[in-house]
Amino acid sequence: MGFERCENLIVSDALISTDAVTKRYGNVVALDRVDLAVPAGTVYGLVGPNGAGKTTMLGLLAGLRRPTAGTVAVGSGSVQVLPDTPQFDSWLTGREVVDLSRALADNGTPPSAVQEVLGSAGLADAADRRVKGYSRGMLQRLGLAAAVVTRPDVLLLDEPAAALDPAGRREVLDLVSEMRGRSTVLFSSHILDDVQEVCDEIGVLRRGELVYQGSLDGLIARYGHADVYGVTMRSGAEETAALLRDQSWVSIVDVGPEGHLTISVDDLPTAEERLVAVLAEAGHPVVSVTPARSSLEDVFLEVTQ
Amino acid sequence: MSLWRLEYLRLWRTKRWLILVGVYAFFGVLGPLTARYLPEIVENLGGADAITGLPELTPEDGITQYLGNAQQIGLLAVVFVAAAALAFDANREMSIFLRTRTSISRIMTPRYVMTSAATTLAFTVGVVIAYVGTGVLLEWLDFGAVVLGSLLQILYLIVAIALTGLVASFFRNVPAVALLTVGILILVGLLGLVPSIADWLPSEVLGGMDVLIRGGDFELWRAVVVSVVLVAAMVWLTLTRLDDREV
Repeated sequence: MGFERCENLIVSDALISTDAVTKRYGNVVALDRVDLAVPAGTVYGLVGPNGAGKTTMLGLLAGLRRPTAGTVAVGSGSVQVLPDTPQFDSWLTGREVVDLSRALADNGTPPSAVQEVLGSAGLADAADRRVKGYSRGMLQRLGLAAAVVTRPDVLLLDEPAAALDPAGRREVLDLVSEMRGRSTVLFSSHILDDVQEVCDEIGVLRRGELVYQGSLDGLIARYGHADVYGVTMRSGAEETAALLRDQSWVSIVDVGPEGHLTISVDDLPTAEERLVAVLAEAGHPVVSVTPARSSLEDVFLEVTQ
Repeated sequence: MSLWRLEYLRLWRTKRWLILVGVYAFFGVLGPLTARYLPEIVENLGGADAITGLPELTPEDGITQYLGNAQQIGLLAVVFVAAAALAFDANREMSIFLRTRTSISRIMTPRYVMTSAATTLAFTVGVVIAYVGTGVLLEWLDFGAVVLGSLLQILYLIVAIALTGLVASFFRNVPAVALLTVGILILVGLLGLVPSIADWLPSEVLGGMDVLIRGGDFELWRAVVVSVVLVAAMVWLTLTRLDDREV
């Protein structure tokens, strides 16, 4: 299935928007005429595989990089950005990091807010320890606390829960969810469960192009296959998958654990007619064949491959 | 918590202030001792025959011995401490933290000022020790000449700090910035071998202390003016380049 560049969305209340923004590094096109529109007050997920251009886009929105062409507009208020692996001078304490952030924002936030956000981030007990001893999850939460204390209008988060353990991930996602309505949050990730959990809208980047922008349900409705089969093989899953991939009516075959194949098809009538015959031709024992529904992950793989 | 306090903490908690003061204080002690006891030191090392070949020591050697070490090891320490503060893009995440919250000039001003202040303090501690040591062990020197000579030395160190900032606007790695800065300072020093331009080079001010404490006239205006103009130009260029840099 081919995908066309995402059409411009007319979003009247977009707080963050880009107009045909392009970023090149030498001959490499990191972003290609991207029209992003993030409504005010939402949590927006910017998804795509590694190298799709997510970090570059966040850099442009934060003003840390300049577009090669096109324009970027990010409201009129304060913008905070949290890198994927926040680091701070190791000899500072957590409290000093957050207080420095508060002081630099220079927007009248009282010093008492520092203790408040450290408590919300679960760092009250570690506030006076130097950040050299912080775990990665603590650094991520400290980065969020340092951003939140400035009461930003726009919060840009680059893979905030990547590489965290489940508990750390849960804490970060809860903090992001709490920002809904108080700030406009743009959240880049390739972890679809996180996106599905906290984001109101998403944009999908593929090799620098924005291939979808809108709601998650809209994405599945637009690109999801109604026609997906789950097949479980006793043995020979790889050989059977290879044979299936040769069929013109098959779009994707994923081989999962324990001989499970997920088969997306483009032409349902042909699939209904031919699937069993191809499985028989493969000559390996079949445990089950069941129709299935496209998951967000199926759609993501399809859109971004 | 302000950016000024951040820089104070950088010097204090990383013990970099101690490195600076320690280096200059050590050579401040060593200079007069070496000048006073050099013949005995050489003799104890088994070089009795070499004593006759030593130049006749003067009280001024107490200070010049100090400067000889301070201009090498001390300069290295200053450049490394300056590079660690001024190459702030070396830590990309901390750089993003600062750049998205305030301007480059607000980030850099405390870094320049605190590094220069710590350097001035360290050099002053060393020169005071060397001055007093020279007075006690040899002879008291003209205080005014030592003060003016020290200001010239400090001016050169500030040129070195400004140059470190400029190099940091081209390169991000702290050791690379420090080593390149030292390399450039050595090259500029070598240019002093060319008589037609020697008087205009910042490195010329390094010889000012020796001339002044020996009663010579101050004839370094060209090097001083060039140094001041260079510092201003390098700081301006550094801020402009850092402002334009993508991270």
